[in-house]
Formats: sequence, C-alpha cells, structure tokens
Amino acid sequence: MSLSLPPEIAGAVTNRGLNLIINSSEQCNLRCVYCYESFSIGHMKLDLARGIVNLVRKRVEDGLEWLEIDFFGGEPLGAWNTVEYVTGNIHELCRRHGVTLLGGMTTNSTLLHQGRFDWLVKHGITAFQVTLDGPREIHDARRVSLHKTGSFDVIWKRLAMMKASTFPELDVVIRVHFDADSWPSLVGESGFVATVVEAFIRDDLRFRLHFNPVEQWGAGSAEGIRYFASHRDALAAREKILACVAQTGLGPNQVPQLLKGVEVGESGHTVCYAARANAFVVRADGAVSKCTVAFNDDRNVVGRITSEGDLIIDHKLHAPWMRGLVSGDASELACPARGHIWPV
Amino acid sequence: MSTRFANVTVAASNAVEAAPASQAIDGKRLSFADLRVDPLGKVPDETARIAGTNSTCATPVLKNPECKPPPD
Repeated sequence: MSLSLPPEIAGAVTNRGLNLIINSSEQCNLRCVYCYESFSIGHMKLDLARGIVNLVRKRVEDGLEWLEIDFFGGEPLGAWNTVEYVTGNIHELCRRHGVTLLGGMTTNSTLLHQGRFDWLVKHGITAFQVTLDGPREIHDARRVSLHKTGSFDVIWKRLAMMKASTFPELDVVIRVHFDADSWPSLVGESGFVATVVEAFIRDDLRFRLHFNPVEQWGAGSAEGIRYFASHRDALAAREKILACVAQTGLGPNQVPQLLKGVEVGESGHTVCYAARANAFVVRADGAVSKCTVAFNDDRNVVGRITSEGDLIIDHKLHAPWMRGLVSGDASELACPARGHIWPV
Repeated sequence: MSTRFANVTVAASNAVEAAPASQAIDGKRLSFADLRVDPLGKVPDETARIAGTNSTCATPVLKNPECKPPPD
C-alpha cells in the first residue's frame, strides 16, 4: 500500500531532513523603530548550545540526509561564541556522516567582520539575509543602534565585503523594507533600487532582492514611520517597486517576487517552516517554537530542548501549527499562525 | 489551480482530535497522530515511510522570506 504525498507535504514530514532555526541571541545591537521583538531573553547559554549539537549528533547517527540550520535572533552574531560552537560542531558532524548541510543566517550584518564571514561560509553557513530600509537618510532613521546612530554605512560595507568574496556557494538576500513614506525613494532611474542593483545584484547570481512593507509588528516605537493604510496599499506599492525592478532587466532568478509574489513549490503551494513537522525554532532560553514572528505569544512555545539533545514537545501545542499538513489548506500551510494566534 | 492538497478542512480549534489516525495509511491523508514527534523530532516510522523518497530538500527560511505578521 502506498500513498503519494505531494512533495511539499512529504518534505514537511519526512525524517530524512531536519530544519533547526537557532536563536543564538535574542538581544540585538540595533533598535529598529518597527521591530516586534522584546529583547527580554539574552544570549543562549552553553548547555543549550550543547543540547542542539547533541540533538544533531543523534540524528546524523540515525540516518539524517540533510540538515538545515538558520541562525536568527535578536542579532545572532551577538552571541558569536555560541554561533561558532554550534556551527563548528554541526559542520564536523555533517561532514563525518555525509549529511548535506544547508546553513543560513538572518543578520543585520553589523557584527559580520571579514574573519567571521569567511569562517562561517567555510563551515557551511552560506546564506545570509541582510536588510536595508532605503537610502542612507531613510535607513538611518529607522534602523538605529542602541546609541541612536545609523547603521547604513556599516551594512553597506558588509555587503560590499560579501560581494568582493569569491565564494561561489554564497547566497545573499538583500531584503528591502519600505513604508508609505519611503517607497517612492526606491523607484525611478536614480532610485535606491537602481543603486542596489548596480552595486550588488547585476551579473552576480549569488545576490537576490526581496521587498517587504513595514507593518505594525508590535513592540517598536514606530517613530518616523507612516504605515500603509491597508495591506492592499502596501502590496500596490510593492507592485510599483517590482515594476521598477523589472525595468532594470533582472529576472525572477534574482528577484523571485517577479514571478508570483510568493515562493511556490512544485505542486503550486508554499509551506511555511512553522507548518512543518520537521522544523523547530530553538529559542535562546531553550524553549522550542514554530514561528519566528510571534515570539511573544505563549501559543508559540510548543516545548523545550534539553542539554542532552532531547526535544520535549507537547503534541497538543504542536498540532495546531501542523494542521495544514492534515487539511491540505494552502493558507494554513503558508501561514499557520493565522487562524491560530492571529486573525485570518 | 486548486489551492488545496486534499478535499478536507479541519478547524484549528478542534484539529488535534478531528482526524483519525488510520487515514494516512489508507491512502487518503495524514492525521495528527501521524505527526506526533519523538524526542529526536522524528515523526513515526509509518509516517516517514509514507513520505518515502517523495520529499524534496527543506525550503530554507532565507529562501522563503514572505512570512510576515498579521495584517493591520
């Protein structure tokens, strides 16, 4: 008897792969005015980092074929020792057991010095997502340090460092935020998009672009931000930005949103990591979550990891996140937080 | 194009109890019992067998950056 699951569903339940999103630190050296995080948890302690490595050790010895680790936060590089410990050990375990390692990091990049960057890429952390909020004067009003200074120049410098590297496996997503006031600065022949395209994207397939509207995500002051009146307005602005991108000659291989606006799997659907049975967010305090946005909601804590490397998961808390795998509902697969902890 | 994998809808509020465990191996769909993970984060062997080799590599978070908070 056999059941042929759609590849996206099969990939979301298989034991052949494991996705760990690791919040090595939930502190950050920036205070972006719209950030949704509370920074109430600090750096991950060593015993929890050991727990992650122990979990991976057990899985690679148990036939795991691929492991995806994504560092998130907070600012993950704020806890460099943890990143180095986890990455170094996991890289060696995967190498020894022939497990494919897919490594990535969502970082503001301000702490990504050349030495760290080289070390990370050589140890399998090859994908980076770095955010810019527009030209310097706009970016620096939104993505500010704890000391209220701007971050544009250092982030631009880090991107230039990545660009100058010769790592063919490098995969950099430059995420560009925009709001109701800032989006016009992105478009036009001399707009910010054209600047970024010429500086990083054109003729370098290691770099991609992604555009996201700033919305009312919660905890930040939102000082200086004018939100879009509706999500529909935000999407309309994004369409104008994408039209500008298309005029530069770039295609969906470097700007996937030019294709359909969302990444679509083989059977025409998107499955969020939060909807997967084999994806977990390990918080800096050892809690295990599903979603990387709803960090302040208790329903997003489904268990914990022990220093021995055991995942203690409460199935009744975990199940609602995976309901799309049972129902097949595309919206539940794309964002299981909606309808569970957020309104549909 | 269909927006669903299966012709079934389960409300989130009663989802845990709604789906009988036998349906997946009957060739219909997964149930919540099929998705219960052990301390290694693994689903039951029978679920893994159903997933078989028809599973693509995980979709990296960084390649799926559309995830966003609720609408205002």
